[in-house]
Amino acid sequence: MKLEDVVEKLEGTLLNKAGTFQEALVGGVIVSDLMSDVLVVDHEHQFLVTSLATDQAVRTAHLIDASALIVCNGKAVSESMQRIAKQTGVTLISSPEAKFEVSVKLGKILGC
Amino acid sequence: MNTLDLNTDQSPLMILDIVFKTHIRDIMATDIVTAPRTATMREVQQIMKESGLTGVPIAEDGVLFGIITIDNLFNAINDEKSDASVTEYMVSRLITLEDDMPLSYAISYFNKYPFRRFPVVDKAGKLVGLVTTRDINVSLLSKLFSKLKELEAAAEKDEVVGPERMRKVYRLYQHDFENAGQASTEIKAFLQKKGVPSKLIRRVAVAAYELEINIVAHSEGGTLTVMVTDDFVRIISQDTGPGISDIDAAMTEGFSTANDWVKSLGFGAGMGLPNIKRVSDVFDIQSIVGAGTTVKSCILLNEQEG
Repeated sequence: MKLEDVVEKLEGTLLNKAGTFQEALVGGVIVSDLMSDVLVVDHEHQFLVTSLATDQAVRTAHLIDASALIVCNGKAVSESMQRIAKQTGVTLISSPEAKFEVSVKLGKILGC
Repeated sequence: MNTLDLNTDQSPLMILDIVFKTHIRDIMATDIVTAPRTATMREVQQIMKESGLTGVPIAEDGVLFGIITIDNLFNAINDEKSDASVTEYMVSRLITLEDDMPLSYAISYFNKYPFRRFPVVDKAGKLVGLVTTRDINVSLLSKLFSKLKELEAAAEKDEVVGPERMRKVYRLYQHDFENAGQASTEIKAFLQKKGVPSKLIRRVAVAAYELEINIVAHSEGGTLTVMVTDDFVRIISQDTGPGISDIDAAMTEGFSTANDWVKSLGFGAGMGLPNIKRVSDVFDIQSIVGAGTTVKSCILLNEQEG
């Protein structure tokens, strides 16, 4: 499914659009606050759902070629996170909803 | 007291170079405060109080007659003779250094004599400065600092040979989570430019990133040496720190010694090392408790071989 459509239906705040935003796809979802667990996943185009609002969450999303990173639970997304997202080309979204709610929504959107 | 033994056979050349090429005049304090022979002990006491010095040379027009130290001052106070002339209490049999002597002389003088400072005279015997151990420490440290910087710069000279090959050393510091991941990002970008398939790039990125995190989270700092050729990517992580006492346990998924702080940053789930091994074609780990850990990860860029 196209990332653009997923983002539109999620109703989060789009903080940074990757250069590849238009053509990006969502191939699956990873929900975790532990980046070490995220780094084990070996699939492309993953939609990363987390409530870990750190620079390292953005770096992890970049390094695993995630299609987007959504920071849930209304966690403040720092300026440095946004800067790294811009530099590395990570689509960054924030959401006031909990990870579970976002995950349920994503499941419905993706037809899981 | 510890002595610094400058042995020409065994001392590092860098040190010998510094101690023989640096002259006393380069390190001595020249803004010296002196007192004439007509001064009283009380006046010298006042000079010491105002200047913070612990030794005042007694000199007139550059001609050195002696030195008054704190010890001499105590003696005068003890004798209740603060108004006595400095000539009564000063040390007049002085050991002096000459300003064009190499620094090694000053070091050996401090080893040989119990004094805390030496007056420095020029060729004509005129007082031109004072040398304390502090002057030596400061000059040695600052010279070593610049020499080491030169050495580090030479050792870590990056080598990016065209778009195809690179060799680079990244330095990582303890708890510097802010910058961890920068090396991995750079390596990833290089491999993308090189046209390496994204699946392979992801494996390299995961290995590099986990190694970076390990250095900042678990060690006292270290380096990540990355080499990219047409056939492979080799990453060597070397850190100094506590080392790993049980490598088998550390290689078990879920085993972690990370503290809560590291965990709050999203790491320390005990997946790092097993994950690096999983993505590597060649993996090796060696650790010495109390010294540090070296991890080697190699990923072949020719998928048939991998």
